[in-house]
Amino acid sequence: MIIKYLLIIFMIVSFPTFLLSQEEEEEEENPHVEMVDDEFVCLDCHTDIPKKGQTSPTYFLVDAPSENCLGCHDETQHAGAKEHEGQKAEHLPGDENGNIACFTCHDPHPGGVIEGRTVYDAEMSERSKQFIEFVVVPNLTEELGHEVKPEFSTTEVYLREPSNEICITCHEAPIKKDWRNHPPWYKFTDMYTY
Amino acid sequence: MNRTMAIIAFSMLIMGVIGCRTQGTSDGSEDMKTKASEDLKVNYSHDAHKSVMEKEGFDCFVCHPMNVEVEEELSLEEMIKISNKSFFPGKETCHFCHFNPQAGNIAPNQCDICHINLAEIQPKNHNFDWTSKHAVFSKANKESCESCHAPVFCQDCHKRRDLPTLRVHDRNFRFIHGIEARANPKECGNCHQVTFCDTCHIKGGYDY
Repeated sequence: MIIKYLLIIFMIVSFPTFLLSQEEEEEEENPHVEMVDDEFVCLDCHTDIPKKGQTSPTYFLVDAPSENCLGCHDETQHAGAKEHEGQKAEHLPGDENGNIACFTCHDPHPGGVIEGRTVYDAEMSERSKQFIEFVVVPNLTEELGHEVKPEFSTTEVYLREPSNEICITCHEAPIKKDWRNHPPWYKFTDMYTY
Repeated sequence: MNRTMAIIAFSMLIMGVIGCRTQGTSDGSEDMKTKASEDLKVNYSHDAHKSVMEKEGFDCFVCHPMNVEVEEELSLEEMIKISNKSFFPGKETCHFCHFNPQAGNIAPNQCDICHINLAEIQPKNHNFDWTSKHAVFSKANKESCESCHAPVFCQDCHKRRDLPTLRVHDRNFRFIHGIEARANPKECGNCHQVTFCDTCHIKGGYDY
């Protein structure tokens, strides 16, 4: 009789633990990494395994290109992601409307999956890292009222171009403004001399 | 009667709403931030910054950090707000190069490069007759002045004697200051400590 009760208690205690361990295993699965060795992982996102040279405006994706990544990733996956939404993907792959999607900047395929394609880590200069850590982050934490942390892990972001160049691909040419074309403010000119 | 009461109640409701709105923006700092950001959208030149940033070893992500995150679970609206605040540089980012009294500037420090209308960043107490009122405030909180003005800004008026302009005292004030000091000693105290007089008027009279 006691053994029976003990067994029931054991099952009650162990079941949530079993569920938790299952969840952890699921979290560890990363189709981007696994597709290097297992081509059937392609079917997580594509309706068919595209053959070499085969193209499609929808990239043979399961969902609409603009939404395909959102099955696993947040639309606010990183700062600035949402701000690019709806902008024209100038010289890089765009979604069904030619707008920026996650895969505009990030190639979902790691190096070695698609022949002749190179992907890049998000590298930053030491000076930039220090600036973000000691100037940007403390100010953001204070301003937002939430603890903001820098993320300097550079791998597994699979950029289509090296860090700064991916920005320049779209932002280089159009930004030319007559930046001092504003009326001078004489009243306080003398007051604000340093 | 009921109609009158309804009108009064409606008026009070409207006044309450207006009152709340006014109270919320009475500080004006939020408005100021928004306006400055708007100015930057018009005036900012990536071209002008590109070569300098490259030379200084800064990446695009210094001003537009995409690699900052909040670990808390937040709503989508909150996350969008945080993304927006993080992605577009705050004043500290600009001021680090353009207005950095502690470390020194590595970029032009003319405020009107970004703040088109300087009146918008002028503190509200810098109003009528501020020239004569500022001494009290500066003595109470010197750091407050230095959040906008470099120390040399004070010295520019209070120390310089090389221009025939009326800054603090007229030229030759040394010879006539005794009359004014006796007429209104408190006036001297607005700027000077009592010991300031003693530096010249030591016991026994006049020594320099």
